[in-house]
Amino acid sequence: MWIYEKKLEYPVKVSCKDPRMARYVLTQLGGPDGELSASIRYLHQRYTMPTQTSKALLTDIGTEELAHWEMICTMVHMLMKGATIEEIKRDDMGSIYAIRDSAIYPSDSMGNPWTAAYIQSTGDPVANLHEDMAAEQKARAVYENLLQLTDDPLLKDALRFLREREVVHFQRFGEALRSVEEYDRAKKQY
Amino acid sequence: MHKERLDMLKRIQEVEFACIDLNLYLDTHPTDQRALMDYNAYTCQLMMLKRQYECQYGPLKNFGCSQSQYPWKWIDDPWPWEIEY
Amino acid sequence: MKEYECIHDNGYMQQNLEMLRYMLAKAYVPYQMYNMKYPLDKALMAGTLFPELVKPWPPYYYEDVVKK
Repeated sequence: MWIYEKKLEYPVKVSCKDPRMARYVLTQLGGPDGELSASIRYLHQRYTMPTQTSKALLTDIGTEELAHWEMICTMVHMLMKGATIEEIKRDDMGSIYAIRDSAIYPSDSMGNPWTAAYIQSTGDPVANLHEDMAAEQKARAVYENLLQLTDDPLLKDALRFLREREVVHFQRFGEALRSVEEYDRAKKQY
Repeated sequence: MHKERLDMLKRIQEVEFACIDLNLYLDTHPTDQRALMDYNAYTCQLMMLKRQYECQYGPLKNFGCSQSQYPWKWIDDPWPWEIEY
Repeated sequence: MKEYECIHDNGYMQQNLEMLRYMLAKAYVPYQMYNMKYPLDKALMAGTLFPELVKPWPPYYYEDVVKK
């Protein structure tokens, strides 16, 4: 069961509106390596994991990724807030503005809507955990790219936080992988 | 949103973040006693801070996890994406 | 490279092989030990409670580590 807490995990600030950057950040909202993908992936994989460690970890990291998703939505919202039509047209957000004004919608930077094809939930715990570890590394790489694309120090702060969380999640998934493999080994030896 | 409320919220975010990170650590190291003691200490501190915040500014959680003053304060602004830190 | 002949094996090769079969074709992430942590305000800024997990970008490190 999920309870919502009415606060962000980390304070998100932006120096000024920037529709161009909002478009770039959208990839972490509804893109293949984004927070929504991560969260849906982990929360679906947890049902078929063998060990207590992996079930708990996938649930907790899945929940934390939902909090990160909220942070990304907040970033996009703040970057688009108060932007004039001229600024939107100049910053190449006109196509997205035409269909949905400044609404938040899970799509990537190119406008492709989020799809479950971005995630996978196999029945094999080892394969699942390897996919999760790869997802964390991909997300980290995307955050590094986003950090290069912006000059705003306040926005960089939040992106840096999210990037570091990906590194920590990778470590945790690695440890869960070891526990799952030990479990497999123990099972084969009775 | 005035400074005192923002400071209290920031403090809650700090302690809650420590709890989150320790939670993830304990998921993969369930037998680590020191980590568990630290987690419990932070949780105690967090519950106190949250109670203080909620008494003054309204509930942080709904669905039965926090009480509210009159009128129903859960719906009050600002929502997390509207806060100017 | 030696050829593997099951018949002339004295048991030692087989054991070695079993161990190698168990160890290879796997990914290993070392377990973290609980050593030290950041003070809470630095931890939120850094993105983690544990200094050893910090990989900031571009590389720079946060001071004030608490040994506990």
